Amino acid sequence: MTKKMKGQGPHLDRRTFLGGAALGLGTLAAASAFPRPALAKKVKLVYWSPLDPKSNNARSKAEGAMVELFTKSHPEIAVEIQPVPWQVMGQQVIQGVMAGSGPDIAQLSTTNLPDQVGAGSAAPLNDVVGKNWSQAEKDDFILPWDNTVYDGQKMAYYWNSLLNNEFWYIRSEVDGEIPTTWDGLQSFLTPLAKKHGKPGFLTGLSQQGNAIEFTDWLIPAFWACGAEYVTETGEVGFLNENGMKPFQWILDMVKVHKLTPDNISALTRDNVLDAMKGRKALSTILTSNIVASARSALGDDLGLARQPGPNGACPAFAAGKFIMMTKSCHEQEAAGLFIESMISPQSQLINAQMAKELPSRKSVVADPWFKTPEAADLKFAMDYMAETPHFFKFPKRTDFLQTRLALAAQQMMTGTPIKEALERVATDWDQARNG
Amino acid sequence: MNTIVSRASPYLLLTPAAVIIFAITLYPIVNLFWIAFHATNYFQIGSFNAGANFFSLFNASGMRSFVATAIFVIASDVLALSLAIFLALLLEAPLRNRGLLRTVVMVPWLVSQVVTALLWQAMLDANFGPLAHLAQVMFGVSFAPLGNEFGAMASMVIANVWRSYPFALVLMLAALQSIPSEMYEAARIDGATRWQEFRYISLPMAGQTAMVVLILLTFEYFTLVTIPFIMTSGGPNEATYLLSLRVWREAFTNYHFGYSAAAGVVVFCLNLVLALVYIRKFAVKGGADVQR
Amino acid sequence: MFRDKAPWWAYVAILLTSIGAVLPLAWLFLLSLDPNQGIASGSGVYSLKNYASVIFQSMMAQYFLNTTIVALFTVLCTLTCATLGAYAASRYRFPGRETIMIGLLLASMTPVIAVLVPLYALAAKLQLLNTYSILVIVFTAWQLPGTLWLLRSFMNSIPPELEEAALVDGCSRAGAFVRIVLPQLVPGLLAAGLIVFVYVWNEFIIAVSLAAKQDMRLVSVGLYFYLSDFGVEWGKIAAGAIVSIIPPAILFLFLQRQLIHGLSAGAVK
Repeated sequence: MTKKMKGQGPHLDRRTFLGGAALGLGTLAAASAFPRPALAKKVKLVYWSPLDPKSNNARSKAEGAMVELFTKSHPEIAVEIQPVPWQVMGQQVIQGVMAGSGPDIAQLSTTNLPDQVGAGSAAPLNDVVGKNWSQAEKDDFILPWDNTVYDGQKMAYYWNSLLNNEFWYIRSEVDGEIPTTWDGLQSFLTPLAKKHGKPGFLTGLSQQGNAIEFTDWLIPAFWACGAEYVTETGEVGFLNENGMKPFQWILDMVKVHKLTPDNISALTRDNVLDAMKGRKALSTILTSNIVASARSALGDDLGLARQPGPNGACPAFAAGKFIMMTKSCHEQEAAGLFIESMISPQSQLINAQMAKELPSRKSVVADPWFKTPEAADLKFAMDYMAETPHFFKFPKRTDFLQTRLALAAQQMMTGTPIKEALERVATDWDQARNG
Repeated sequence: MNTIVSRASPYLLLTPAAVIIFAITLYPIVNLFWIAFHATNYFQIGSFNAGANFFSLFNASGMRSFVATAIFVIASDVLALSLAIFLALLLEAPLRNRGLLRTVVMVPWLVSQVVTALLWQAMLDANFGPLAHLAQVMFGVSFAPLGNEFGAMASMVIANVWRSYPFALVLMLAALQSIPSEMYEAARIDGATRWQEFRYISLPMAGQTAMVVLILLTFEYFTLVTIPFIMTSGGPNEATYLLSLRVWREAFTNYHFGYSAAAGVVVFCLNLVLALVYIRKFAVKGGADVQR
Repeated sequence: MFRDKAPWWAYVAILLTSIGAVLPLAWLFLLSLDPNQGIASGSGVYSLKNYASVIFQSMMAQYFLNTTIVALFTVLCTLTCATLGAYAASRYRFPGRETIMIGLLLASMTPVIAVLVPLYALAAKLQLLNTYSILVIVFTAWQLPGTLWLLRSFMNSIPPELEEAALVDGCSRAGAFVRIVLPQLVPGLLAAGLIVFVYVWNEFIIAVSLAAKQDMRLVSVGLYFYLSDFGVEWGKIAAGAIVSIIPPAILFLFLQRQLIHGLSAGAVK
């Protein structure tokens, strides 16, 4: 692990350990003799992705095509894709790198980057990727360049763009223009929910998956209310009148208007997605990258709109999955080339066309394909992001803060006053940041 | 020469087992205590900070973990053990198709914790679960047990008991089977009732095994993390946020290795206390068998 | 208690338990036949598509191989070490015997969850992460104390007279052990072996920490990793879960009698 840990505490090296264990232990010695998977020829990069290359879905195929684009132009470099689920990707990369068994490259969820930097598992890319890029090329990214810069070092590049807060609704049951305000939404949905006998609006407050199901719409709601998620000085920015409003809204939806069921405390993003696919609720707020998955179940019946807010639509909450090089990478040059290829406009277009992923590059959107009906969902997201952008760099330990916010919401559901619950979050957050 | 060899031989025979067990457990335990008393920043171990890492265990949220763990362990213990004893008594009877029935009743033992958690989560799903469907169709009510604190804990206990009673049952059956049937015959001649047979023969003879089983189950439940991790994520409202899940989450979600190690030390010490009670009461007397 | 005659309600009670034991799995099986990915559909369409995809389009076969290898070697290591140790503790009197036995038992009470991080660090230091060896070693360490105690009490129940007679007849200690003790130990070994096998087959926390790399995963880890980024693929998880139960179920069917017999011979004496 770290140098410090090596020096202290009891020490065991492999030889004494195995020697001891092998003492009178034929069977065990035989087991130890199993070969570890052999390393390949020339140059090989190990790439950890949440997408299983063996899987049959569009996303996996698109990533396969992106990697193929790279290996075709660089036949001397082999890339092995190893799938790791997104729920545990962050910890697996940190553990792996600390132990010297990490991948060369990893693709992670948007909130994980600060912790990768904090834990020292990400390697700086200043001298590896885009060395000769012009300013125009650097400006070609949809998300701000500085979002992935820490201490002056570029630590990662966006693998895609994500719009976290799309309002989804079932078209055949919710007809008409979706109101952009909370009040409007409530009076609009109430008769429809009654008519169809199902929840008007669904969300989930579970802490699973770092509570993204909840915070993906909560954070832009903070902004719309004039509050902040985390301030520039690192303190919580929602411990005030404005920050309490989104919580009051969801509480009212549950307790007063009965548009949202009271079991949302336990719902995860998967539950909500399943529910929408099965038309068990009229509307929800989810992320752009799972629209295609829902569309395969719902077809044209899935409608998209902007997230309603207190006085009009909330700002678009744009983020992106990122791709980074780890400190355990031995082939930095090859890794740099690979990252450049994965984020190249060409690759990004493949991903958009095959997997309906939002590209991370502005120039890609100029492609005529984006004018076709196939690209309608992407177009919607791009327009939302372009018109009301609100960019934001996640703080360290943001996963912790997100799960605390979800917990606070769960507590409010069972009667804890909003202010009290948020004060606890603030205390925990200060302790986490400083301790 | 010969005597030296024969004196040394029992030690030599025990060496492989001792080496493996201590090599794997001692180093991590010492390391765990080391980390628990040091400040940490991600994986980096900083300076000694006395017991500061333990403070977070003794606030309101930490207390919820203790309470949740106690409820979970005790409820699971009571249900799993009484079910096991009850079924063992019945399955001792000369039932028709006894072999088949025994097999069927033990099937959940073969199901892993991962599958158990996923399976019960799906069955209890408020929108698609068969139980929610039945509740809706038959009584016109919605059924979302995972959505409230009591329901979530109850669901987790039931899923856990479902998975773990068969092993307790196997041990209890084995214990009952080792009671010589002459004892029952003698009791029968004396005109004992069934209850008296249970009270004065089965219970004293199998009681010790029951205690062993109880303690083995307790150990397992104390350190179980897969089921709450997958099934409830500790919610709602931290009602199912077991100490073991806290150990996991502090380490792998929050990257607070100090806190995680501190919670781990507490779990270890609780285990140790139980273990010592166990060993004093049973193991020293000899003959008790143990299996995790 | 009911040794001579089973009351009628015994059947009812056992039947109810059987239903409770099997019904969730039956539902899981139904789910696995639903070709639509999601518990949403309930379409009434059944197919073996999920099984085909689990068996042919995933690494499940590799996970089965990994788990089988690890489980068999763990059983082998555990039984070998435990038999030797149990023989010593049962047939010899020597200073420190109970202390050693209790020390081993105490060590086994280390909660896995609390030592994951140090264990990971240890495995990394030994460069054994993502190998069969580390899984076999750790699982063996965890299963050994229980098995050792079980086999010891089993051995205690085997009368030593035959062995002594063989020794008098000029047999060596090892010879007497192999010819006399070992055959009688078989039910105990089978029971212990089955328990260890099932444990390894179903273990998740250690396996996911020490061998998460795709080609080294065990079955339960592989199943967990089905939770994808784009919603849970229930059909595939269900199919994978059903398939994963088959190997231990087959073993269990064959060894069920030995399991109870082996444990009961070793039980409270």
